[in-house]
Amino acid sequence: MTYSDFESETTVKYFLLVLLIVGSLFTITPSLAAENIEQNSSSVVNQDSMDTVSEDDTFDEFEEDEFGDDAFGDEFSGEKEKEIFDPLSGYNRVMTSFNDGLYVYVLDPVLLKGYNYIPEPVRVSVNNFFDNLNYPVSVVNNILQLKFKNTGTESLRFVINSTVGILGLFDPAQSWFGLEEHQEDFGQTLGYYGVGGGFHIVLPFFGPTNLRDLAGDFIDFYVNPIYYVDVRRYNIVRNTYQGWGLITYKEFNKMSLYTKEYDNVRQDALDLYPFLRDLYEQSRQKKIEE
Amino acid sequence: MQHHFLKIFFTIVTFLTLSTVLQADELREIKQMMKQNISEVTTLIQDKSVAKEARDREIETIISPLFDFGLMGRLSLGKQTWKKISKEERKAFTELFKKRVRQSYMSKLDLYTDEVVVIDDPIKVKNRVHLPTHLMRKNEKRDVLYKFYKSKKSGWMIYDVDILGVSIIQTYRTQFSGILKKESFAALLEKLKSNENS
Repeated sequence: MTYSDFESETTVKYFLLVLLIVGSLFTITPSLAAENIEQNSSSVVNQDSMDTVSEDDTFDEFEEDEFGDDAFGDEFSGEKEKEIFDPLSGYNRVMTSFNDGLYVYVLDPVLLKGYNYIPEPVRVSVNNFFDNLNYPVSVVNNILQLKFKNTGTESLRFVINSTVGILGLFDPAQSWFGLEEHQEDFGQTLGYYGVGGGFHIVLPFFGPTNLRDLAGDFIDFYVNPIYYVDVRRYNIVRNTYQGWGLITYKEFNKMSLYTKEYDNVRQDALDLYPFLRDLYEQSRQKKIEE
Repeated sequence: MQHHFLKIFFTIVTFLTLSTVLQADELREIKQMMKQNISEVTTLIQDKSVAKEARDREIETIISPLFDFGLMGRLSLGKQTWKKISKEERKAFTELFKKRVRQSYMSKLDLYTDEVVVIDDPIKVKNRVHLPTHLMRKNEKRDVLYKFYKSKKSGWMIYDVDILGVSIIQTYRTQFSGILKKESFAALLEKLKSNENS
């Protein structure tokens, strides 16, 4: 090990230590933080109600047989045909059918059926393990979004789960200490600073995403330990193929935990592509707003 | 003159205090109502001695009065379409929509095992109330948000549910408007009837 190697390693260690201390300070003063959150949420609600006070009047006149949509109009979008910008809709539709077909005819009856012989708690642990490894991505993006309390919580979670939770296989931080996960990614960071989703893209195998989140994923790869980055010193895998292999396995394992949910949810769709697109875009929006 | 002013002042103060007290009461009432409903439903699900069909029927009778399925259908279809279609079509649509949403909600209950459902404090949003709830599942927090409005006839009723941040009504709105752009209303009714998606 050369001297410069040693030096950068200590810098990283220092950085982590400082993070940990700052983070724990934020976590130790939960009352303060809780106050902050309360203030935030109430201000959001207030703003909301102030914006649309005038529209409330129509609401009271709502009758069973008459249409009372006017007052609700502000809540839902899509009727006024303000087209959702979806230049890839043709391709996306095909890819959605492809992915769904892959799931229904290959993944579910063959691959997952075999894989699910592994007991669920084990698969949950595998998922926990990968989640725990995602710590660098999450912590960087928490910092970029100036969420210092969550940065602290994530750091504490990482330390507890890596040690007491045996390399992240278990989640005692949540179950014993009640420390909730606050994972963030670069797509969310971009969203936090007001970057819109851009158009929707359905990837083969990996499913729905959008322009912003796809770009975010590529940025996140640089700090993601399970992906191979040539210029980086710490790499768990030896090359790009192994990196992709691991990422695919991670997603596959996660999918195995949610087959029932997917089966259930796809039954709700009248038209699968716009339905799944809505599901993705809305849940991402919610995560950004948090 | 001053007397008059004081009188008005006190009326306003009394009115304001009274209305805030009432509001707080209403919020508590909604929370209490949902708490009871959810606990009734979860005990029913966990009770394995009752046959699934009987159990489902019982759950339906608990849940149904909470939802304003008619309004949910109208909101999903959108005002413009609703005005265009005939009375018979409205009736047929409402029936099918009700059935579908109820079915989908009931099938979601099948995913439930033994998680504890936590009901958080209701939030007043304009003259509607949002009731956030969540449960822990496979180490992940799952949010379900119930949205209430006050109907003149039957009090507080649910007009939309957000599951993991996804509004049910919004997903139907997008799908309906997409289908109607290419196809007739009759075709939409056909699709509502069938359980298969294309």
